[in-house]
Amino acid sequence: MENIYLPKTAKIIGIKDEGLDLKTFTFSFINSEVKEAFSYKPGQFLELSIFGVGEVPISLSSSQIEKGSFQLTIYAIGEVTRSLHKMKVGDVVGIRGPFGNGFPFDEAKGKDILFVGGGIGMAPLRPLIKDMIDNRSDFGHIIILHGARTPRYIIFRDELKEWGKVEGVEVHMTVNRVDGEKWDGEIGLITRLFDKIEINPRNSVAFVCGPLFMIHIVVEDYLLKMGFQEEAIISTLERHMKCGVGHCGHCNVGPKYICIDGPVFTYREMKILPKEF
Amino acid sequence: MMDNSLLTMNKEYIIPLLRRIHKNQEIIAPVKEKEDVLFSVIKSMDEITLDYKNAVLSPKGFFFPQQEVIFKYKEVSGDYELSFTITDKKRLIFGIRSCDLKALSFLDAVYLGRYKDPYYQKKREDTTLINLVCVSPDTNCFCVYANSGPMAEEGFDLQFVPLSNRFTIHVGSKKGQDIVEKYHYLFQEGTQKDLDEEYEVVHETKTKFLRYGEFATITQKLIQEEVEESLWKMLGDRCQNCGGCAYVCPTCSCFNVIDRPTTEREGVRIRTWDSCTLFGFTHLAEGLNPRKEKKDRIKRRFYHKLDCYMGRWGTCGCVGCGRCVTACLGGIDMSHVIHQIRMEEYGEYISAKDSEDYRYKG
Repeated sequence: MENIYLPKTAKIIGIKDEGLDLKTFTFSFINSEVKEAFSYKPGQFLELSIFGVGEVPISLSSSQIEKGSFQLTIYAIGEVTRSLHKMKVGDVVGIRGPFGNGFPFDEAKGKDILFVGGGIGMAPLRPLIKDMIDNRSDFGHIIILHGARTPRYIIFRDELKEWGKVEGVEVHMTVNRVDGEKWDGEIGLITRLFDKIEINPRNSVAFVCGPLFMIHIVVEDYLLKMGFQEEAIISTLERHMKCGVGHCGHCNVGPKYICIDGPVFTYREMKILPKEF
Repeated sequence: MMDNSLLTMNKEYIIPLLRRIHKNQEIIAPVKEKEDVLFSVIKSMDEITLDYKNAVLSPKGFFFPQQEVIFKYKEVSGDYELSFTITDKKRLIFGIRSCDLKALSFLDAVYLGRYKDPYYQKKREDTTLINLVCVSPDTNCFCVYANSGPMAEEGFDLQFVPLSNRFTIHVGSKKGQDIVEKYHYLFQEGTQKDLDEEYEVVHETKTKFLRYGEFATITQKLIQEEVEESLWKMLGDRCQNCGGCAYVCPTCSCFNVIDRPTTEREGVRIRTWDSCTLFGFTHLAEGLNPRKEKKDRIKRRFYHKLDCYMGRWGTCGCVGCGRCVTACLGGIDMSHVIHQIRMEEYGEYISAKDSEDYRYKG
């Protein structure tokens, strides 16, 4: 019987600074069979263990390119994530998963795509963006909006630049404020960027990730008013999923368990959840 | 001779039956400890009591212990070794009530759904369940409303119904059938007369309930959001934040996961019972908490038991065992909340015990 609670060990093989308290870690499983068998979809999450500290759910921020290695982009904000930020290449963590449903990919083919990523909300979107750019001809126009607190919090900076150079892909960025950094771009909330884009909501899918208040404003004040269908607005929800498999109850909201029913939901599904979302 | 056929057994044969079974496997049965009756692993037959309404705690902990080691970890030459134990022990629970039996089916729905919980699964598979139908319910019980008793419809291996001098016995599974075949000399074929007496006994039991628990209409009211916020506010104010309701609840299945280092290089990961009424339950990094207020946690608890269960598993998440009625200092138990919603007295505490309306009227 497979024990779903038993993590597989993985080594940190790379650490990239993404901004203040923000790092992308690349991991590789130690066991070669585990490495071989590991596969996942954009939008799924892993349970990351630091033995002796605890376990937290984290969205995969890489798309599956190399077998057995994967990336997590993590903000040092709780006990486990702060411990991880102190770790170095070669250190060992535990991994369970992948869990959750993942983003719809085939369903979005043939459509224009709008990505709205606020802060670390870009992390789960990144693998989807990469996969769509790798399959460029399957999708229409792609627009990527990213909002960060200040310029130093802009995440995946180099990649955003690269993506913007791909034909048919637009990237727009804004920062809430400038903290003495050099910045000649937009200043203001992510919703400012809606003035700069043109999109036909009838044949588009919007992927919105970020803080909850941002999701609400973007969806209710912009996307729905622009004419997006509720099921064409897709987002991810967060809770401290302690088990990842629908057992521990911590991520239950209304009739849904975010770990097994989500974390990806359409706005149609989200809007019937209790007001806490 | 599966579930359709009825068997009987002389009441005096029950201990001889259990004694024979006890030679080969562990038996968990109701044991009197001072004023309380608790399910315990018995050493000898004379510990067993048949004189009880229900045990203080359901046998939930024998499947989902209050604290359980998930695994041990140990750092060994640049990697971690993880080890875990899944107990391999055949055992029999005698005397579980139908309400607690039904509660196990809810735990099954959670732990043996799409993902199987290996610790729970093994204990569940290794356990034979004999329920003893309750004929004298406690004042706080309301299983009749939760469709979980006094008789069980399913989930038992053998079901015993106490009549005047004998039990009627229903076989619910292969495990139960095996017991009957092995100790066939203790059982008799049942007759129509036995069935008639059983019907009378069970029917009479149904009239003895004092609590009210009309689930269907209450659940509808919750779904339609016809319950005012003032009710949750009032209940939240009365909540003592003790988590007791969840600990005594046979259907509560939530747990917390904690790492406990013993040295710098090794330790254990454990899980412990958790309660959604506690502040820490939805506490997130950065100090975020979507259910900061007691009223939000209480509201969510009842929505979960009633609305979520109904939507997900087509049943209410309460079996009417009445333990939360006994345990809650603030009077925020299922029976009371249902009563309050039914009376549409949302902002004021109604003493359920004094209310005539609370009584079962047959």
